[in-house]
Amino acid sequence: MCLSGASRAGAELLAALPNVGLRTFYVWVPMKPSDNERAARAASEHFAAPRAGHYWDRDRHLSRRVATALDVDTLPSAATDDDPEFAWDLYLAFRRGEAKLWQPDFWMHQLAVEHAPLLELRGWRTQVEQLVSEFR
Amino acid sequence: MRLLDGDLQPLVDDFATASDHVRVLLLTSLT
Repeated sequence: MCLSGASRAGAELLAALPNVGLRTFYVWVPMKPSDNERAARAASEHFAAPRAGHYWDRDRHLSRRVATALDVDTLPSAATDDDPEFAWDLYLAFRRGEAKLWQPDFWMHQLAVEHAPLLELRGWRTQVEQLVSEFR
Repeated sequence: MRLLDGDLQPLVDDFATASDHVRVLLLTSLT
């Protein structure tokens, strides 16, 4: 479920790694008609933290770009003929330095795709810790 | 919370500004 993913991949990660150079960017993506700016704002307030930024991808600009780059299909229940594929419940990690938003060094998901691992906290944290330790 | 435009601003700028940090980007739905 999406908010549990945000909690595990974001809030719990920040709590587990309190004193490292880590920044979290939450991008809230509308998937259903009820997913509006008000709901996104409530979620952003729930997950507010000093090292976290929050963004509303109302028109799915980023989620479409990421879906294409990572070859992630939409779930049939959320896609329509008029609705190009877009991505959600994806968790991307980037090492220090320049990077494009859709070209992570590592990523996990909560979707029915098989070319990347499903989100689980231990593996996610281990991968992020590895990136953090690269230039210590 | 800030709205993303077609150029993915302001996220692109914020992401670049934090380039001396490890960054995690979470694309999450709301329901």
